[in-house]
Amino acid sequence: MRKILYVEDDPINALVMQRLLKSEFDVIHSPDGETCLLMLEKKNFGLILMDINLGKGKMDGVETMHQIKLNPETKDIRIIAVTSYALPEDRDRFLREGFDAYIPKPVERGALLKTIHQYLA
Amino acid sequence: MNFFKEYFIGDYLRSEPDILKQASIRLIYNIVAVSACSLVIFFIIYVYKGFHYQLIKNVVILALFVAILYYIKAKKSITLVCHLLMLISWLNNNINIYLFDDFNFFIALLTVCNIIFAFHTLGNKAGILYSIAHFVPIMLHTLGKFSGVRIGSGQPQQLAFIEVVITLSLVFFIIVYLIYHYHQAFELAKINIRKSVEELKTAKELAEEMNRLKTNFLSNMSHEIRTPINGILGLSQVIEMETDSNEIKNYVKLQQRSGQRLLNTITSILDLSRIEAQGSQLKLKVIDLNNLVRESILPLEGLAKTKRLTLLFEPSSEKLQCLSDETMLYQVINNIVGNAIKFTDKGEVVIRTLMKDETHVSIVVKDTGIGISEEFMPRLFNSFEQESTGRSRSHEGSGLGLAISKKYIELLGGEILVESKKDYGSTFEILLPVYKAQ
Repeated sequence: MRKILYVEDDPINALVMQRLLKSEFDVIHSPDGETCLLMLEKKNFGLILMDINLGKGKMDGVETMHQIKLNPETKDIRIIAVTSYALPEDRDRFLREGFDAYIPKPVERGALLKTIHQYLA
Repeated sequence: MNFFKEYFIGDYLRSEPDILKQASIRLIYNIVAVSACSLVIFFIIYVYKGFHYQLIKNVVILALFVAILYYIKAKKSITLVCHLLMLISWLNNNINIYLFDDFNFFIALLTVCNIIFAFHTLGNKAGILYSIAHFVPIMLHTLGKFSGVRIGSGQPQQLAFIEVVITLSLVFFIIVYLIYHYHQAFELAKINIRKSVEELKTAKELAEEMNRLKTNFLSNMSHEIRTPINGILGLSQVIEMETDSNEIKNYVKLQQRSGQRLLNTITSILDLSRIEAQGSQLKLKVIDLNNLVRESILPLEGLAKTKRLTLLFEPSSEKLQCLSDETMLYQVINNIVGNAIKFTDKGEVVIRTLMKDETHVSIVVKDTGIGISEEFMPRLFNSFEQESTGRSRSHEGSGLGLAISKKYIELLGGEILVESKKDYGSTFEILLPVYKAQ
């Protein structure tokens, strides 16, 4: 099963994502940006789903995304922003920052799968 | 002296907020009062010297000045008085110049005095007018004298020593007083203006800060609400997938519908609140209207299909462009077409784009739905209102969509027109200013 890395500080939302995608993907959870970077060194992931507001973590989702894109080893992994920042202008803001796609919360399984399949390497 | 001042101009001064105007009032009062006092002294001198033409002039002017003081007290206005004073002074100068062929040092000083006075009390236009009126006769007289023309019949009057002293002091006093008085008023006005500017600056900074806080607050609100709703709706979807019980499947579907509705309402309220906070932050760009309409109705095709409605888009054959905010306009079209589908049970929803007139493009959304009653029409664009007579449950929604649409379109410089007949359908028309490439 293809592995997806999900960076999310809220454990309930992490559980939701794992369960929603259970039948098609193996969703590995990272609670913050720092852990995410460490996990990327050890394992290969086909795709990253990135929350933006990572709570107490030092890095937020945007910064973590930049770090991943800066590293030649990981720069080709597609990163999708999955966030509660869902005001009309947020979509443009995150795509401009460098995310490959944007999914607002609350997530809907159908739309989620469609986007993931579209961007999965 | 203060007693007289309070008596004649006390009330008037207190009712006048403008510092410069106050200065003018005090000035007029002082000039008239001091002149009146001087005239009394002159009167005594003339009477002592025996009858003289100046005596009549003196008495007439004295009476006039006293009348002026009472006029100011009664009318609380000095414009007419200023004109009158200018006229008297002008006449006095010209009588002296032409009737007695006398142009002397005093007249020159008085002329200067009059010009300054006219500019300060009556403004620039009157100032220039009176300057010319003063200058021309003096110039003509001087030229006439130079070329040997004798003007007037009288001999130049011989002024007594005491007259010279008093007149000279009076004229000097008036000039110094004029300039001193206005300078003081200007200084005061300058301080006031500086203070007002400071206050405005503080108020502006405060308003901007409040606006920033409000925008931040709303943005955080939105984030904090969506995070738990993701948990609720997400887990609801998980249960729907994992349960074998059809009953539970139905329950969680209902749960998702309620959750979605809650989310829509909250989003709409946030949108509405944000309009004011970000009114000035429109992201204007040139938009191809046909493309945008096509994109906005795309997500609604599913709903139309479910309700077995024909959703038809008839784009204008020519390219229509407008300078607008794409996100806002998308939301408005989506909302109005969404409403048309929501309130139509059979028939069709037709969307047309067209060039309305020289300056406006228009998006027309016509449905064959339940229509809007005449009674409800005036409340159509109010927040939280929905026409629901006995079918309150059949049309879900917060009743905020049209309120938001209206505010958005107004921000974008357009308007929304509505025509409807109960039970036959409604036509919404969005008018927007056209963009023409230079």
